[in-house]
Amino acid sequence: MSLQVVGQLPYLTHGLHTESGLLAIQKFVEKLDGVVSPDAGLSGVERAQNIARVAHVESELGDLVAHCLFCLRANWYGYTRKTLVSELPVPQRYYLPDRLRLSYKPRLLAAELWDVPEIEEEDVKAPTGFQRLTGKRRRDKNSKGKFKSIYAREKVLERAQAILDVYSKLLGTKRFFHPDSERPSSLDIIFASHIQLLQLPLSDPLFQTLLTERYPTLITHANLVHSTAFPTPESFPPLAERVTSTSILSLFPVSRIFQKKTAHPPTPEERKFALMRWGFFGAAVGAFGLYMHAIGLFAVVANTYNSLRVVKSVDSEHEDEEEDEDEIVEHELEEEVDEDDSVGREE
Amino acid sequence: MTATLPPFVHNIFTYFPLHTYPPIPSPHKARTVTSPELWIHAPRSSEPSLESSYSSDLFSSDVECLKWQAYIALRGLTGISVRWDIQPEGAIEGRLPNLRVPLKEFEPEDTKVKDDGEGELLPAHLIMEWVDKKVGNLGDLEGYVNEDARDESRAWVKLLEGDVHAALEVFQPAENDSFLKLLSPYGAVHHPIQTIFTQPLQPLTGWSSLIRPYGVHIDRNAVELKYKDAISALSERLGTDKWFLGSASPTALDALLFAYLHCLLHSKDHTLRFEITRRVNLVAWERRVHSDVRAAFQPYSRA
Repeated sequence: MSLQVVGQLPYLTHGLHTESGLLAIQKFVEKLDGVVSPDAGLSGVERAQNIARVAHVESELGDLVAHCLFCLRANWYGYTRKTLVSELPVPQRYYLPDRLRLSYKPRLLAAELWDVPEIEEEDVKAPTGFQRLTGKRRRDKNSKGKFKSIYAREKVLERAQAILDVYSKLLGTKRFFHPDSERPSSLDIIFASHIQLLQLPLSDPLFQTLLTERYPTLITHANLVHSTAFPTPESFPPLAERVTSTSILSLFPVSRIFQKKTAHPPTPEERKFALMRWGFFGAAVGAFGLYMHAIGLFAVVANTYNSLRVVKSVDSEHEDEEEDEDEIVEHELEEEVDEDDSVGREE
Repeated sequence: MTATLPPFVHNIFTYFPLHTYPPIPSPHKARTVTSPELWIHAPRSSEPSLESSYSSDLFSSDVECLKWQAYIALRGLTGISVRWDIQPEGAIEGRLPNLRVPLKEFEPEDTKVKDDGEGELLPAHLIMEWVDKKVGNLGDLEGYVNEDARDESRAWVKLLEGDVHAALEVFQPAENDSFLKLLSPYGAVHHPIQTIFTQPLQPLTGWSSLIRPYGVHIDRNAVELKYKDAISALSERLGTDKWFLGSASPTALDALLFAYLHCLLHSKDHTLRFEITRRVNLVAWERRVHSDVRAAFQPYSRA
């Protein structure tokens, strides 16, 4: 079993099995015992329409949620970034939030939802000391920029209205999108989750005001789905432990080839395979050794090693002798010189 | 109050006289256009196929171009010539298909442009407007049966352009990849694969590594799962209808569906092709629409 690191949430681990991605998780969970699929009871055509509508909602509302959380500056600095920083361990919290934000850029750029300028909150700033001194006020140069930003925000709101109109008309007065309106279907769940995210009380209430003013039915639908899923406060699933320690190892990209599998006691099958693997390699090495011995390669190797050692020692002896000879020659020379001198003196 | 130059400055300017020359007529002229021309990516190289009458040599191998080809044909236009010898870098914004039309068919009302026969080149997003001018507007319902069908069509468009397109991009290697393109001095207008996926993809270097993010890691299993769901949904919804969603006449959604089915059926990857060939009604529908679309085009002739 290899752990495929996909790098996207949501991610489910059930015992030893892992699933990544909403659709895979959905299919896995529906196969478990005692689970009733939310789409049970839909006819073929309705199921097909469901799939198309889920794709539509995930695409359009997903873009709007990403825009709301990552592009609107007040929301990004006031809520999203703060939450991410508080959840991440120390080295990551300095660069990972910005990286995550930039990863949304290609998609939102293509959807023309990326750089929507903000309406600055400052209406009239109190005059600074210098301005008070000179009596000049900073002229508001932003009037043109303000119109542009208002226009851009209007365009984003129009896009939101286009899709929300479609689905509020589809919902009508029913409780759920599911045809028999008794249980939420998968479309209900996905739609409600997006609406709840858009409805968060954030610093920049662009979408929140739109929903409360024009689409109250969608808000009630989202609350209804939420209460159906979690009827009591105790029915929330328990949170896993938060990792707040520093993790230096995650700074280095993990090579997928050398990824260690999670440690768990080896099953008897695995033990058998390990035994067979060791046995195979051991037998291979043993056979190699026997073969080398049989053709006498070992003896040859030993001999060459010994002869090499002998040669080396002979060389060193030669060197010693040469050194001795040099010393003797020097002595002789010195003696000759002395003799010459003495001879010279005698004469 | 007219400002006059002081004579001192005027004297200095006389050292830099302005010469004007008459315009030089260029010997190169675009060929005059009499009938509309569609510029597309090249079709697949003609393979010897068993059915010789089933010639698809005028259909582009690119899904975008084929979408617009199908749209023009299904709206009822005929006599459009098709050419594929134009480099993609020469198109408007580097994206084919472009449509070249005689000026009188797309003349903006407020300009008086001399008609020198060169015509007008339209990018892809203006093709719909041109077709509406020629054939007439489809109206508020855009050719669908009722408003619910029109709203539903939006969802189907998103499904096709999201899940099915992602599968096409991931499983079929892009034919435009070549080493020479990397060396090309013109910035390649490359529409990255991240724009197709709703959720951002993990970079190859990992989210939290010291190295700057590079590349993307695509989960092929997830893409395959979504693709299979999408194709089963399409087949289920089409059923035995003549046009998708039960419309009386072909709509933009039909053009889109035909383009994707055609490209998937001719893709080199077995997984993609097998899913469609399993569904008989999709294959039959594609064949039927094929002859309709083919009839509208003729190859470009230099005469």
